[in-house]
Amino acid sequence: MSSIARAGRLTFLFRLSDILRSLTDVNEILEKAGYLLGEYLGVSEVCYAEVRKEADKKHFYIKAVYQEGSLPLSGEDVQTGEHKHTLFEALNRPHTIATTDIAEDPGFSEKEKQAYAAIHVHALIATPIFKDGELSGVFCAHQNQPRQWTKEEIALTEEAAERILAAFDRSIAEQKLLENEERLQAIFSGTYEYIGLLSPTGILLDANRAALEFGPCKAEDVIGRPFWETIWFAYTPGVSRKLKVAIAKAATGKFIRWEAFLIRPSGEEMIFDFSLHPVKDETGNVILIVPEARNITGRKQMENKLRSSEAKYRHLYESMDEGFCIIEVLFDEKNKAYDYLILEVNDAFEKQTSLKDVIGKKASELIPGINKSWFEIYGRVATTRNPERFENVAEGKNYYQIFDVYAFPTGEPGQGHVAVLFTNITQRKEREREKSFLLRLSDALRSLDDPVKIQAIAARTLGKELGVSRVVYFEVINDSYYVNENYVDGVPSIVGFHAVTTFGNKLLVNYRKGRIISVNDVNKDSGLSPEEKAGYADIQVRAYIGIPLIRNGSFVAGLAIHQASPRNWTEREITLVQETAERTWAAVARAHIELQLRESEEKYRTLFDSMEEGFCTLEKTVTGIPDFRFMESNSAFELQSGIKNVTGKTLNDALPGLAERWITIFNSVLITGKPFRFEQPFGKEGKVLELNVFKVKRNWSNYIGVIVKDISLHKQEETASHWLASVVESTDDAIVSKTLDGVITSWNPSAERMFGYTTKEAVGQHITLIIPPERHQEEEDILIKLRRGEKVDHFETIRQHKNGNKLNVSLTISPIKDNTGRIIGASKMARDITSRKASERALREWEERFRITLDATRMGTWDWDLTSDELIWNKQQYLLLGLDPEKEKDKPKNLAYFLQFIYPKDLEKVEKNLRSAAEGVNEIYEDQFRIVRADNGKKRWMGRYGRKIKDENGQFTHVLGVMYDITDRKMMERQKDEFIGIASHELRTPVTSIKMYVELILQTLGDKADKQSFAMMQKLDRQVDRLVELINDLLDTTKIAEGKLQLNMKKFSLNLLIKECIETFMPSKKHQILFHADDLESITADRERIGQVITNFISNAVKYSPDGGKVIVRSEKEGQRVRVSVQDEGIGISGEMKSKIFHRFSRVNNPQTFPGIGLGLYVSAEIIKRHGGTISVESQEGKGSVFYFTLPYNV
Amino acid sequence: MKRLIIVDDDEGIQDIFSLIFNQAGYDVRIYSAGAPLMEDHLEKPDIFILDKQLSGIDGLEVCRFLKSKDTTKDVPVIMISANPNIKKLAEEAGADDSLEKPFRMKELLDMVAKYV
Repeated sequence: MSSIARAGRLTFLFRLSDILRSLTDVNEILEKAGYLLGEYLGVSEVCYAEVRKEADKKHFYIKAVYQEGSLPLSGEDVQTGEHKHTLFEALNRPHTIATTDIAEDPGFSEKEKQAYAAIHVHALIATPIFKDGELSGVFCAHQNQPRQWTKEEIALTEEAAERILAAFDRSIAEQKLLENEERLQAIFSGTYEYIGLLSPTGILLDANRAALEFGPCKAEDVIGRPFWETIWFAYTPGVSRKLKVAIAKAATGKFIRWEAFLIRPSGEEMIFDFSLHPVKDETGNVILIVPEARNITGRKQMENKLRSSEAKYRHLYESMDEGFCIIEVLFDEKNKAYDYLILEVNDAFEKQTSLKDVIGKKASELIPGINKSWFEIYGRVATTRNPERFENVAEGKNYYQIFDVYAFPTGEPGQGHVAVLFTNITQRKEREREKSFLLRLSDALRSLDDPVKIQAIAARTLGKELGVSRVVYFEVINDSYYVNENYVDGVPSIVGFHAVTTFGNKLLVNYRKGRIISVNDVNKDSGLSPEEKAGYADIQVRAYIGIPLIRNGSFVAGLAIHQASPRNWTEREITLVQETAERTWAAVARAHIELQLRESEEKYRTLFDSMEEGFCTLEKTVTGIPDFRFMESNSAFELQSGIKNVTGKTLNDALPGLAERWITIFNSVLITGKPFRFEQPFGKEGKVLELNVFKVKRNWSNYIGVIVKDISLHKQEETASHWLASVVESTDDAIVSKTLDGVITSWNPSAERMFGYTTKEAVGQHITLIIPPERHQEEEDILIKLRRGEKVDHFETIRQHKNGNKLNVSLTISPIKDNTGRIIGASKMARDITSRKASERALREWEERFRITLDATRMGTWDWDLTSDELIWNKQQYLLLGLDPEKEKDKPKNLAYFLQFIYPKDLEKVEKNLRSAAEGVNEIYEDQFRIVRADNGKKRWMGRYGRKIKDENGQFTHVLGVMYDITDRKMMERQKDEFIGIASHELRTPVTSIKMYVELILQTLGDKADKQSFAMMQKLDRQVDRLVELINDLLDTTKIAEGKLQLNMKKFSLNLLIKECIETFMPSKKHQILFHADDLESITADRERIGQVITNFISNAVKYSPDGGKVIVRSEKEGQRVRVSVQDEGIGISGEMKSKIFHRFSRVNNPQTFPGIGLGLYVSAEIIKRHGGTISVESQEGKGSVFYFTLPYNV
Repeated sequence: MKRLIIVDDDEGIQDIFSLIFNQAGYDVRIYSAGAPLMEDHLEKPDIFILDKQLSGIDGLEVCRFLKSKDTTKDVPVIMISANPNIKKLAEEAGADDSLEKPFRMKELLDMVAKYV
């Protein structure tokens, strides 16, 4: 080889290597390398035929990479064996083929030769490329004319092919690596897991986006630092050390994983699934550690919650009283439930069912013969998946229990699983059944009045209930059991007498001791002799229960039940027989007594109808207003009283005018039990009835009897004389009657007083006894007039007292006529007129008393002349002002003189009041003020009271009055206010403690306490609230008295305040609080105080409507003011109280008026007054009240 | 645990307060008079509750003292009293809040909770 050629080859290979080194793309490698080779060899074409496999058939995919004079074959698929025979041959020959002239080469078929000729290929070098022992492609250089290839050219082509192949491999690997890395990077940065890269020594090389965001930190802050010193672990104590150890372990090639607990800067605690993956090189050295962390906090929390909820469920499940089980319902081919399997039960299951070792067993195994209804129900629950609640009897052989069951589907649909929660209610049901039986029995017996029938019904009812052969109610008569009636079922009746010995002496002894006997099998009863056993057998009794009934210590009757076969009596059955026995006896006894009663009533009725006096009985009505209803009356009652058809009517219906009086009397007779007699004017004809009222002695004590008699005639006489007599007895005038001869026939008490003679002394004497001798003639004249039938009227004359004193009298003398009109005497009335003179003396005495009173009470008097302004004072008036009466009394005094003693601060008020007294229409003047005493300059409180006096023309001319010292009273009042103030203040501290104790107890007790205690504590709480309210009112009261009630004015919405006030009242069933609000502008006032008034109104409205009803709160505009009213439907207020209700301590003198009204209204009134508002009430007793106040918008 | 100092000379109040606050999870210290609060070595609590009317130094006086001292001026003070003017008086003495007797347990607890 020439050196030039050698250098050219080297240059070629050098350039080829250069190009290939810098290329990564396969196509580019081919093109560039092909071009280089094509140029170097000066061939017409370079191509690469890639072997592609498709369904086990190989073909070439030709890619031309250099073209110089040949026709391109690029992209063409060439089937092997067609016209590339040579190449096909090459498959089995890993040698390069070099052909100088294809047309001359015997290795090519004619067909191939033509095919090469068609693409202008006449000479070629083809180098096969093998990979893993298989042909993967052929690298070819073509020449468009025959060419003699040098060895050099062939070798070069082979070399190029080799290098291209190497470049291919590298390129593909690189490509894959690149792809891998890209994918890796994407995962690395895209994942939400926290991933990093560590050097084996633990230095952080990289961290993904998620990890950096989690930090949060920037890459430059953490990369290059030891992993355990990075921000992720900075907040969790101890974790760094652990991490360091773990990394050291991972560096030895171990995969490490644990649940790491990390604290975030925020203090939040998180749990991570943390792992360290060591990455090894081929030699097994660890070159990288990949830390990876996954946040599993949520999952962990869920797991924890699940665990605790499971534990709770488990605990509940095991500790609850209700039985619980999970069953699988078994279905047959027709999808009908035929049994169920018990899968799981709780502890209570056994207690509730008395069944043991149930798990895995079928219901039909546990309770043989169990009723099918259970399967149906559970089958339905499993199929429809709707829960059901029901009561059902589980009845099988030797098993009878009743359950209250709640069954609900569980598990997956189709599994047939049902959860069953249940309680055994057998005992409760049996009790209910027993109760219902006894109720039925009592009902049946109550309506019967025949003792025998009662026995029959009782026996039958009991017999059917218990399903026994015989039920016998017997009475003990002498030495026999006597059976009136019995119930039998398949055995003979035993009605009649039976000697007590028939059934054994032992039984009788036990019966007499009141013992209940139950025998399950007579034949096994060792206490019976063979004869006695035969006695039982005679009447087919094998088992029995016997209940003796003892009354007043002796065995009087009994109830027995018999069974023809042995029977195990239950406790319940014995109880039932006993109860029946008691009830039957009671009913029989009642029937006997009623029978006797009927007989006695018969007798009573006869008497009742035949008596002459009217008689009726009445019963007090039970409901409504107190009244009595006529129950019966005899015919004489109608005759005597004239009242018809009273039976069934009440007194108010029959005798409306008299009812009130009679009811009162009848009631008192009922209460005292004492008979009462009274007379009753009756009807218009002056009829008078005498009524004898007595209590009817029966057990029910609301009966009275009344015997009525008409005593009208008798009464009329009596009344007239009584009436006259009482007039005569009671008059102040002396009344004397005398015969026409002048003999005194009567002498009344006033006559005794006036003339000094007693009746005894006067009657029978001549009338001249009391006439002074000089006037005897006068009497004669009078008698003459009287005999003529004339009356003497107001004849003033002089009579004489027993003691000789003369009396000025005025006489009226009338004739007295008998029935026929004949004058038989005279009645003389004498009036003493001596006393007129006495009044003058009395006046003088009064004046004296008045003066003494004034002195004693140190009361000054004053007389103010309104025309002259002159003042006239008494001595006390001077002394009260500290003046010397002797020195001052002659000084001229007018109003100005008086006013100089008034305490300056009160002066204005005193003047104003006096002026209005002088000018106003009010007749009364009243004032309280302080004066400064002239002698010592001390302040004293004075009260002043006066009245305006009119002259004859009706003009006010004077004010007359008194003045008195009230300093002591004022001091006491102030002390009282101070006392109340201090007391209520001091009370607030202990009340605070009490209140909180009560709240604490209520809170602590919660549901633990029994209802009663809890309710009592709530009541206590409310009472403490009331106490607090009272204390607050008391404090407010003293503030008002001291003028210290301060208002904290601000602008607010009144409607909103009212709404708040209403909301503080607990909703009550009885009361309905309504609010009708007008559109209002904001008002300026003390919000808290106005709220206090509204609350007080509403609370009174509720308190004083004990029967409930509506409470209507209204707010209305009223010109420049706003009006708030609270209306109730309660008891209302009387007219008298209305004026007092807003006064302080209004209850003091009206103790019975309003219990519990307190001081609230007084405080309310003061609050409203201080705002310049008005407060008032409109009310009607029994209908309700409207309390209202008005306020100006701006005070 | 939040520390609470209560000064009240009424035994009833002392008892119920210690009950309530202990139950509510506070560390409660109770004094009958204000003097111990004016000593230098007083361990700073999280809140003071002072009754106004105390034998010896008045509660308002104690409050003024606490509010004037650097170590305690930031500790909230609640004044309680039966005096209806306590709100105004407590404000003047620099207290953070006040309650007029009688009050409900909840009012007291809520008010304390608001400051600690």
